[in-house]
Amino acid sequence: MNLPPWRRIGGREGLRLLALLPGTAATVLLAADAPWPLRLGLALGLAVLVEAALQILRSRHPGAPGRHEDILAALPIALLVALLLPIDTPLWGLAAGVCAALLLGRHAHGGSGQSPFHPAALGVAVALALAPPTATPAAVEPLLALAWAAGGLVLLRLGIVPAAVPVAVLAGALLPGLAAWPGSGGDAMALLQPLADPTLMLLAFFLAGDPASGCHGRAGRWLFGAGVGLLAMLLPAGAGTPAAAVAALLLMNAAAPLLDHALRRGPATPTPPP
Amino acid sequence: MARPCIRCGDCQPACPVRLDPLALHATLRRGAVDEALALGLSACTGCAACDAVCPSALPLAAGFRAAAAAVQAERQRRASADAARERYRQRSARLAREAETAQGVQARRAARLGAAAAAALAKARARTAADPS
Repeated sequence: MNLPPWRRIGGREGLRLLALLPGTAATVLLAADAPWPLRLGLALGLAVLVEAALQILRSRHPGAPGRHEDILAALPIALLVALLLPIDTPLWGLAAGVCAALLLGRHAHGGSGQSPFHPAALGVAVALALAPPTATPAAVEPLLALAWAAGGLVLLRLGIVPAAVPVAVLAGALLPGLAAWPGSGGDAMALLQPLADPTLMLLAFFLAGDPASGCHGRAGRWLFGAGVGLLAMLLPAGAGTPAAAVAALLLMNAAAPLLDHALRRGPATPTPPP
Repeated sequence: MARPCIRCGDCQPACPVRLDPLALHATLRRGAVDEALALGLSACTGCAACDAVCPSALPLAAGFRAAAAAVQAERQRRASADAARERYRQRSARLAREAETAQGVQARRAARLGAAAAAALAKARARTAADPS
């Protein structure tokens, strides 16, 4: 198999992890007094342990091919859970989120790419349900949004993320603003505000952009992305909050097979009648 | 060891006849052959461009070809079964027709024989009555 390294399963996961680095670094640096390094380290360490334990429980022998790749695949998931959860989520909540992501979002369905839901979104949802956030949402950091977008664009450029999805998510997130445009006095900055939201950027590129849990048809991907963006803005949890983001994604994940089925056109070449 | 499909979608842009190998693979795994046909299974050229980009190294084209061949074989089997059934039906009808025809011939012959015998008898009786010696 002559695939470029980033197209192979291990490389794909490694690239996802690398693409998260600029945003992760920005997160840590922009909030120097927050315990981000501890939380990220805990999530990553726990991910390795839980993933290895789950693989042993699923009785895959130590030399089985793909084990290292699967452990690598668990890392971006755990990192996303840690990054999406508000900083005031207790550590046990974070640990529960990582465990739920790997157990319920991954291995319960048979491993990489088998779950209909994005594992990290599922983990965050479980953690938020167990330990609801108390603090106000984090301030919007355009620099952080830019850092997430930079990593996401690399994934998009290398074809790991289908381009239609992040574009549609961001477009969908702009729709409520556009609808209110005539009444708001035409404030362009307010209109483009969602694009400066780090959670939305993370959602667009790293969560909704995961091809496995989204739609697979061309039209389906646009609709899926737009639905995620729109719901993330409109859900009562509040625009740009992690709760709204993961709820929007999980809802659209659940609807993805239906969207694909409804929007599937016939084959390009007509088939002879049976 | 082949890994399962990770649903990355890399095979979709690779297909030269614009089929959706990902969906085809999933439907065939479910055993939904009719659905796979609706997705254009028969149009697969077997070029294996999907295999070449699959990170799980799945033998996609071979699976599609085997499924298409199975569909073709099933169609042929059904066609030959239909033909055999039709042949049997026509043979039965012909035999019934022939049996009916044979019965008719016998009945007519018997009737004709019966009439001839009666005529001969009557003629003999008449002759006996006219000439008692």
